[in-house]
Amino acid sequence: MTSKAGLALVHTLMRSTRLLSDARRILPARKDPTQGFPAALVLSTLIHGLLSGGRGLSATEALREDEPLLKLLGVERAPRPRRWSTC
Amino acid sequence: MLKYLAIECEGARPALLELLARQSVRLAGQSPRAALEARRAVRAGVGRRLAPGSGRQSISMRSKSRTVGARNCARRHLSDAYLTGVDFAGEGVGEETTVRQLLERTVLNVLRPLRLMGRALVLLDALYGDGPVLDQLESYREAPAYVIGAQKLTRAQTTMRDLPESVWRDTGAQPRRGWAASGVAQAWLAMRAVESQTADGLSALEKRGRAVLELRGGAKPICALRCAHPNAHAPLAPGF
Repeated sequence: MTSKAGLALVHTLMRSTRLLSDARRILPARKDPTQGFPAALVLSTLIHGLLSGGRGLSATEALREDEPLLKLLGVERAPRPRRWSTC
Repeated sequence: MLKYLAIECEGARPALLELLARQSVRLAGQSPRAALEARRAVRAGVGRRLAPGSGRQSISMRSKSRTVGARNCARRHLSDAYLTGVDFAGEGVGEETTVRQLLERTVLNVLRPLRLMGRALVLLDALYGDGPVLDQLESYREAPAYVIGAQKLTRAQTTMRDLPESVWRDTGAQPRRGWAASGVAQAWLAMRAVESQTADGLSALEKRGRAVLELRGGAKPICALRCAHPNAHAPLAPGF
């Protein structure tokens, strides 16, 4: 059970506008590809986190603890906000 | 996101702007044409994020059902309209330069692909009302209409002050702005040297025969340059 199932609609919109496929294709690779999350995944989890009421870079925290939601969105893990702390 | 990518990736800024433009084209392209137009014009506005000194700029198209006032302009751009570009002014780069670059990207990557350029009404506040911006707007073959704040033109203030009372149309009190009374007047602004300091020394407005100075008076006068192409019925935006 998740209280944020409405985000599935956002995910559907993102797919229909090809946001994620464009992001995977257009956004450059990380300087160190062996570390951290791909930029497209960071983008999508941040959008979902902000739309579900999160603020700033810590918006992904709520997603990390919501496994049903992550499964719904087809994401294995969400980035940890602490990972962003240098931004 | 821009900050994250700037740290983690090379060349992220232009990539993110391209991604944003593609999304704008897809979303606006799926919207009915009528929903993008207000008074037969597609509005493209530039706003500055409210954080002082951030130097962040955004440019967006507005949908018909939305009216955007000066207050919270940037925030509304982000929530109510198709955001077509957002950027930070880099070190040593002025806001005006950033806006001109955003405008160029929006024209090339969004408005032209959507064939909306002929209907565009560009809205800019007085900060960007200078010669280079006007030159850029008028260099486009589609000749988009524009409304630009004219607060920077001292001659505009003088012209407004000298207008006879009879040309003013009373628009009543506007409590939300703290104005006990207000009025609107139109006047041609003819001058030899507008503050734009164009390269050839000619008046920017002398070259722009259709430019109209529209002035609104209140506790603090507001002026705007308006240039509308003949088929775009484009009165001043509510925010002016």
